[in-house]
Amino acid sequence: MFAIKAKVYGIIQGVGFRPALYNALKKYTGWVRNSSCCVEIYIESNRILNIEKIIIKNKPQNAFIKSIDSVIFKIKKHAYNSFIIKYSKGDAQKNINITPDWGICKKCEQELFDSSNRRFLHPLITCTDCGPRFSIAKDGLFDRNNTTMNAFKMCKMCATEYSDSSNRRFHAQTISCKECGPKYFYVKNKQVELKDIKAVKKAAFDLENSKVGLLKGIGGYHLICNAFDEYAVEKIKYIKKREEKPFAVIAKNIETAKKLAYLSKKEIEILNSQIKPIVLAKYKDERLKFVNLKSPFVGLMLAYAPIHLLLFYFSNLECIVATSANLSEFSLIYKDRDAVNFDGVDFVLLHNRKIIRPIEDSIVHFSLNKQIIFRYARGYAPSPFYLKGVKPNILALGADMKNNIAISLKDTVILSQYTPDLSNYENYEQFNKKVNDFLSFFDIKKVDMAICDRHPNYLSSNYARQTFANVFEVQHHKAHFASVLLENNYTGDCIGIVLDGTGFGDDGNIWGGEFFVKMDKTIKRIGHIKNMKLYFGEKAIKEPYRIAASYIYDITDDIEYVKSLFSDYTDVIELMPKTPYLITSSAGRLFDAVSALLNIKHKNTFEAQSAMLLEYEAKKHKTSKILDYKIDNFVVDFSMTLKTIAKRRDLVSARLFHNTFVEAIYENTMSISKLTGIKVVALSGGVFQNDIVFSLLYKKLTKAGFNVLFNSRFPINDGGVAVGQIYIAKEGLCV
Amino acid sequence: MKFDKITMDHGSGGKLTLELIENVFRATPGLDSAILGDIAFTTDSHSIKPLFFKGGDIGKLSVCGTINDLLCVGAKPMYLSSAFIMEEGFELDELEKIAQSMRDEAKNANVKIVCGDTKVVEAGKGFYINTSGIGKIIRPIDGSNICENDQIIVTGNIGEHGFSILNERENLNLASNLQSDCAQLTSLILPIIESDLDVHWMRDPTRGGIAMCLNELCYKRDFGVEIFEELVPISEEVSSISEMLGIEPYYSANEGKMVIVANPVDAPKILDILHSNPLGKNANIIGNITKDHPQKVLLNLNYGTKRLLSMPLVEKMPRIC
Ligand SMILES: [Fe+3]
Ligand SMILES: [Mg+2]
Ligand SMILES: [Zn+2]
Ligand SMILES: [Zn+2]
Repeated sequence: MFAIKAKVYGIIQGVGFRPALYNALKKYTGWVRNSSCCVEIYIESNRILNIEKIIIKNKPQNAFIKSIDSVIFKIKKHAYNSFIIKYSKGDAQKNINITPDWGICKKCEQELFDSSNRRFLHPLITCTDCGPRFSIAKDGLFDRNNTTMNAFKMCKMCATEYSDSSNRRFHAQTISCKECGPKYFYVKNKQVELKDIKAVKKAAFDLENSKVGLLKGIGGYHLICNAFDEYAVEKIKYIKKREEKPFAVIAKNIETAKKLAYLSKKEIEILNSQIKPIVLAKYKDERLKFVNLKSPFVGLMLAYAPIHLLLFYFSNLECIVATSANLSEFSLIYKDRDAVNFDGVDFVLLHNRKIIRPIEDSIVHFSLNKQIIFRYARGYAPSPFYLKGVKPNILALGADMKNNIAISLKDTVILSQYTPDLSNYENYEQFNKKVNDFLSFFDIKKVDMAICDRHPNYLSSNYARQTFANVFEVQHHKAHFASVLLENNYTGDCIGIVLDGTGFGDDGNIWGGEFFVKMDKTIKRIGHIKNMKLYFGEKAIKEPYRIAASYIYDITDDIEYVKSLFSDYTDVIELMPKTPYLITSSAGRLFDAVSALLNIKHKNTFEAQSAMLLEYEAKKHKTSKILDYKIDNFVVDFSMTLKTIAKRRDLVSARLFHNTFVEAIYENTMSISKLTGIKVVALSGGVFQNDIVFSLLYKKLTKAGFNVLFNSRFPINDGGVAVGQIYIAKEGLCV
Repeated sequence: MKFDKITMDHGSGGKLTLELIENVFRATPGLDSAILGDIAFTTDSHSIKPLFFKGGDIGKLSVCGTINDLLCVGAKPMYLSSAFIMEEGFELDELEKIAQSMRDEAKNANVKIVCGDTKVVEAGKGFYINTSGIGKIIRPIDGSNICENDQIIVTGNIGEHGFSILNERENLNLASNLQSDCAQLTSLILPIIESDLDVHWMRDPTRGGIAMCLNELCYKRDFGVEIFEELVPISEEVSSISEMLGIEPYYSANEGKMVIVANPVDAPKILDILHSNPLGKNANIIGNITKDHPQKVLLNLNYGTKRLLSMPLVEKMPRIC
C-alpha cells in the first residue's frame, strides 16, 4: 500500500483546480487542499501512480502548471475512507497564484441562450472556467468568502451544484443564478427604474435609439452606445472631451468582428480566448468611421461579460462602443455611486456585485504575428511569472505616464494592472491604493527593497523615496532592456536596443534612443541617438511642431529658416534662441518631429498621436529607399535625414524616414555586435509599438543571424518598466 | 536621487532646499521669520539678473523681501540691516541708484535701515545684498492653528515677477506692459494684522511660486491644500506667455504678493480689506485647507479633474519629457 503526497505549483486558484482533481482522483482515498503557494494532494493507492500524468491530463483549461513535486511512501493501511476536498485552512498563507478576470467561456455562453437551462439569460452567469476573479477578490485566497460574492447566499439549487462533484460548477466560487445571484438594474436620473432582464432589455432598446449609457461590466464601467450611430458616438466624444482618439468597440461575435476588420489567425485566437483584450486591427467596415476618423485601426473586443452578449441578443446592434467611463486618460469609474452621479448619460445599467479593484481593458497588437502588449490590465494582471531562485521581497514602482507596479516574492514576479498618468490626482490615488493593495493581497509584510525610476520628479519615485527605507533607483531605459531579459529568462550577454519616448538619463539629460550592452553582470550604455536640443519642455510633447522647430533649429542654426517652415507659429519659434532647452536622445521625439515637418500633425490631442499618424501615412507608401544619416562612434545622427525631410516635405518622406531610421539602428547594432561578438539582441521601448519599426528591424536582425528577444508577455512600453526594475535588482546587475 | 554637490535646485526653495535645512543645517523648515517673544527676526540674501528690472531693482527687492517676511509672522517691520557684496569694477552710479531705492522703499514702509556692511570681491563674481530685519510682533501668526476648511487667499495676480524677469533677461519682447510685482506689503497686510480677523498663516510666495508656497504650507502636516484654477488670479500677459513658453505661472516667482490662510468666516472680510488697497485689488480666495489628502497640493482644473502640484526635486526636468 502506498501514499503519494504532491504539491502543484502554478496558476491553480480560481480555475476549478481542486474540483477537477477531485473528479480525477475520487476513486482513491485521500484529500486535496489549497495551501501556501500551491495545491496539496494526498492519495492512498494499492499501486504506484504516475501522479504528474494524472494531474496534467485532468487540469482545467485555465490552469497553468509550473511544477509538481511528489513523494511516495509506503503505508500500512488507509487513513481515509473516501477522497475529499479540504477547505482552505484558516491560517493558510495567501496564494500568489490567483488568476486574472476571465471572459465568459463557451459553455456558459451556450447555457445563457439555452431556454431550457435554468441560467437562461442570466446576465451574471459564470463557472469554474470563467468570470471575475482578481477584481472581486478581497485577498489572495480565492474562496467565496473572500470575494464580493459573499454578499449573495447560494440558493438550494446552486448549493447543490456547488457540492456535486459531477457538476461543472462543483466548487465554482462565483456560482449564482437568477434566483440567488447579483442582479442588473436600469437607473435613470439616479432612480432605479427596472431590474433583472427588463433592465437589460430597456438598455438594449435605448442603445438602438441613439442613447448613451454607462455599463458596469467586470472591472469597471464603460460608456456605451451603438458604434454605427453618428449622433450617439458624437455624444460620447462630447462627454469624454475627446475629439480625435478612436474608441474601442465590442463586436457582436467573431463573424461580425471579421466583417469589421482584417483579422489574422492570431488575432482571432486572442479575441476568442478568455483574455479577451482589445485588439488593434486594421478596419475595413466604413460604418466604423464615426469611432475612428483618422486611424486605420480599430480597437476591437468580443463580448467578455455575459451582459455584452445579452445587449446584442435583445437588440439588432452589431457593434457597440465600449470606452472606459472617465474623462480622457483619467481614472476608470468603478463605484456605483460615481456612475449614478455621472453627468451626460441617458441611463446607467449596473449590477450589485461589488468591484474591489478597478481594472481596465487590456490592449494588444500583432506585429509579424507576434503579440505586443500596449496595455496590461484585465485578463493579464495579475498572472504570475516564474524566475529561477528564491530572492527577497521586492516592490517595483514602475514609471509615471503608464504605471504598472510589480512585486517579486520568492520565485514569482507579478505585474499589476495599469494606471494612467499619475499627475492626475485620481490616478495617483489609484496608484497609491494599488501599492498597498498589492502588498496586502499578496501578504507581503515587509518590503526588503523598493525600486523606482531615477527620474527626480516622477511621482512614483518620490513616493518610493518617501515611503520605503531601502530604495534602489534604476535608469528608465536600462529597466526597459532588463524587462526583455526577464521575460525571456535570459541571463547571457546581450545587446539592448531601447527605442522609447523619454526617460531620465544617467547623465542628467533625457534619454530615449539607447544602445546598451549587457556583459556578465553589468549593463553599459554603448551608444545612442545623437543628442538634440529640445525647447519648451513638456509643451513640446503636446505640440510636436515645437519639437520639429527645435531640431531643425539645432541642426541649421537658422531661425529664419525654421520660421519659414512653420509660418503659423513664428511668434513662438522666434523665442527659441532665448529660452532654455533640454538635451535629448529620444527616438520617439524624432517621429513627432517628422510628423510635424510633414504637416501631418502639429499639435497632439492625445499621447503619441502625431507619431501614430506618421506611421499610418508611411504604410501607404511602398518603397524601401532610405535617406542619408550618419553614425559616429555608435552615436546615430539623423540631422541629415531631418534636413532632407524639411526640404522635401512630401508624404512619401513618412516612409523614407521609417526606412532610414530602421536602417541606421540596424547598422549601429551590427557594429556593436562586431565589437562585442554578441549575437543576441533585446528590443524594448514605446517606439516598438510602431509596426513598421518593429517588423522591419526584427526581420533585418533575424536575417543577419541575431537571436532577437523582445517584450511579448509584458508591455513593450512603460507598462513593462517595473518588471525590468525587478530583474536588475534580482540579478544584482551593475547598472 | 543623491546629491553630493550643491545644485541650482538646492536654492529653488523646493524640496532640496527643505532637505538642506533639515539634513545639513539640522533645523526645522519653518516660518519666514523667527518669533522671539515680542520680536520677529529674519534675514534674506538677494541675487537677481538683471539688477535693474521693470518694476524695481535689487535694492528695492532686498528691502521688500525682508519686510514681507516680517509681515508674514504678524509683525510690524521696524529695522533693517543691509550688507553688500560687490564685485570690483561695479559702477558707482548704479550703486547710488540701488541705495536710493532702498532708502525710498524703507521710507514708504516706515522702516529704518540701521546698520550695514560692504565687501568687495573679484570682478565677475556678481553683486548681492543681504538684509536682515526686526519687527515688533503685533500678534504672532505661526501656522499652529490651521484648521480644515480654512480659506486660502492670494493677494493678487500670480507669477508676474518670474515672467517679467524672464521676459527682460532673455529679451523675449513679449507683453510690453508686464512688470515685476516687486512691492512691500506693509500698507496691505498691517491693517489685517492689526485687526482681530482670524489669520492662521501667511507667506510671500517668492521663488517656486504659489505651488512651492502651498507645498511648504502642508509640508509634514496632517492636512493638504486644494485650489481652483478658475479662482486663481492670473493676468492676460502672464497667461499668454505661459501658453507660448509652456511654463506654468503656479511655479513662477512673485515679489509683492501674500498667501493668507484664514478662518472661513473671516476670509471674506479680509478680502474686503485687501480690495480696498490698490495692491490687493485682484485678491481672491483660491481654495482651502483639507484633510482629504494630507501633504498634497491639488489644483482643480476647470474641466473637472484634479492635478497634483508637486514639489519637483529638479526644477527644470519635466516629468513627461
Ligand atoms: Fe519608457
Ligand atoms: Mg525669505
Ligand atoms: Zn463559464
Ligand atoms: Zn442560485
